Amino acid sequence: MKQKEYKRGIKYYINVWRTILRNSFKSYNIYKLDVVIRIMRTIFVVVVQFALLQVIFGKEDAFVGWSKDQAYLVTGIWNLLNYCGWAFFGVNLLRLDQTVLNGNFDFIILKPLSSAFLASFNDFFISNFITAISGVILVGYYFVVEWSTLEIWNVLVWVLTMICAFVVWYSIHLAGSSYTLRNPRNGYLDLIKEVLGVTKYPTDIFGDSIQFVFYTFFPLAFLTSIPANILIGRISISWVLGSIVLAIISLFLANLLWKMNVRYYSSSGG
Amino acid sequence: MMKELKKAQKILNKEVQLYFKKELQYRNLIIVRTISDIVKIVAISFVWLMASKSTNNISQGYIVTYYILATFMGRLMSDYTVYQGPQDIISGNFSKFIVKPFNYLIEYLGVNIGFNSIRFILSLPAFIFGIFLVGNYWVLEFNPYNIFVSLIAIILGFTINFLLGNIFTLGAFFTKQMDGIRTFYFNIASFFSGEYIPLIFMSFNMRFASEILPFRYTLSFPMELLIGKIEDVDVERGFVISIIWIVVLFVSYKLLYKKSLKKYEAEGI
Repeated sequence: MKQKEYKRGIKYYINVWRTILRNSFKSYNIYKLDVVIRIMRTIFVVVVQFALLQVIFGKEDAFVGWSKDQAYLVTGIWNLLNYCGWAFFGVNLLRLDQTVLNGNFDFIILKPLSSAFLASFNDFFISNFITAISGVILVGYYFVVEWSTLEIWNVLVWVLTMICAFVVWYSIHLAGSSYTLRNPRNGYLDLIKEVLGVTKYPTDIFGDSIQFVFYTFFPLAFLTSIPANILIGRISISWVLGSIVLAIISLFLANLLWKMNVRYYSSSGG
Repeated sequence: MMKELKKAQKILNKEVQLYFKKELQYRNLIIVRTISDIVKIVAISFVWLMASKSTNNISQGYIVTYYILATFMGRLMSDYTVYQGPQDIISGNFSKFIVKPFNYLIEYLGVNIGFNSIRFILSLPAFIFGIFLVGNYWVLEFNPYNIFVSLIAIILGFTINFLLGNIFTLGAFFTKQMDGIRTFYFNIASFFSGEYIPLIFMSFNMRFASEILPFRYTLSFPMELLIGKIEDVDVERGFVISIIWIVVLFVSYKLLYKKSLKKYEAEGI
C-alpha cells in the first residue's frame, strides 16, 4: 500500500509530540508506584554497572587503554542512548509487531502525518526516561573527576556527537522495524538490541581488524567510543564531521527503507 | 489421582505442541534469534577474554566458560509467565482460565517448556561457536556425574523460576502497571542469580545473601555443578535450599492466589 505523502512543517510535528508528551505525563500520574520503582531501578543499574566494571578492571588501572573513569563515561553514554531510545521510540517500534498483526497500522497510515513519525513517537515512556538518569550519573561522575582536564570546546563538540549518535541509534531502529510492516515477528529488533549492546564497551576490546570495521563499514564506534574519545580529547575534532555525515546518511536510508516497506504492508485483523 | 495426572500430562503435551506450531510459523524469527545469540556470545567472549588478559587476576578459563554457559543454560530455566501472565490479567484474558476444566498453570507450564526448548535449540549454534571462539580458555570437561547433578539442579531451578514468575504475576490483580516492577524484579533476580557478575566476585555478605535467596538456584548453582568447582557440602546444601524454596514458594502461591482472585475485575467482558 503506497502512502500519501504529507508535507508538514517541523513546528507541526513539535506540536503533535508535545501533545503526546502531555498525555504520557497524565497517564503516568495514575501509576506513581511505577515511577518510584523506576527510580529505585536506576540506582540499582548504576550500582551493578559500577560493580561489573570493578570486576572487569580487577586491580588494574586501565582496560584496553581506558581508565576506570573513561569506562564509566562509555557506559554512561550507552545508558543515555539506550534508555532515551526506549523512552522516545524503542518501545513504540517494538510494539509495531502487534500493531501490524492486529491491523491497527491502518490507523497510523490514515493520519495526516508521516507514518514513520507516528509509528516511532506515538507514546513517550517516562519510566525509561527515568532510567536514563543512570547515564547522567555515570557521565556526571566523569565530569566531576576530570573537571580540571575538560575543555569547553570538547564538551560542546561532544554534545553535537551525542545528538548525531542518537540520530544513528534511531535510524538503526527505524530501518530494522520497517521490515515489520512487510514481515511481522521477524526478530530484527532483538538482533539490533544485541548488536547495539556491543557498544556498551570501548571498541578497542575487539582487536584491530574488527575495530577497523566498527570505524568504517559498520560504524558502531560512532555511537559511544567516538563521543567518549572526543570528550576525553583523545581524537581529532574532524571526527565530528564524520558523525554528522553518518547521522544524515543513516536517517535518509532509514526513511527510504521505511517508505519502501510501507508499500508491502497489507492490512490484517479488522 | 493417577487419572488426573495423566490428564494433566496430556494437556501439557498438547500445549507444548501448540506452542511449537505457533513459533515455527515464523521461520525468519528462528534464524534471526540464532544470529542474535551468536552476537551476544561473541561480545561476551571478547570482553572477558580481554578483561582476563589485561588484569591477570581472574582465572581466564573459568570466567569465559562461566559467561558462555550462563547464556546457554539460562535458556533452560527462564520463565515466560512474567511477561504473559500480567498481560492476561490486566486485559481480562485471565477469565478464560477460570472457566477451563483444568488448572491454568498447566497451560503456562506448556508455554514455558515450549519456549525454553526452542530457545535452547536455537542457542546451540551460538554455544558451539562460543566454545570454538574461546579455544583453550574453555575449561569445562563433560563429566557424566556433573552433568547428572546439574540436570537435577536445572529442573529444580526451572521450578523455582516458574513459581516465582507465577507469584509475581499475581501482583497484576492489585496494580494495572507492572512493567516497571517486572524490569526491577528481573534486575534483582539476574543480579542474585549470578547472570551479571559471577557470585565468586561478590563480597562475603552479598554471596551469603545470594545463597539464602532463591535466585542463585535458577542459574549459578546448576552452572557451578556443571563446571565442578563446588565442594560436596555446598552441593548438598544447595539442593536442600532449592527444595525448601520450592515448598515455600508453592505454599505462598496457593495462599496468594486465593486472596488475589478476589481482586480480579475481568476487564473487557
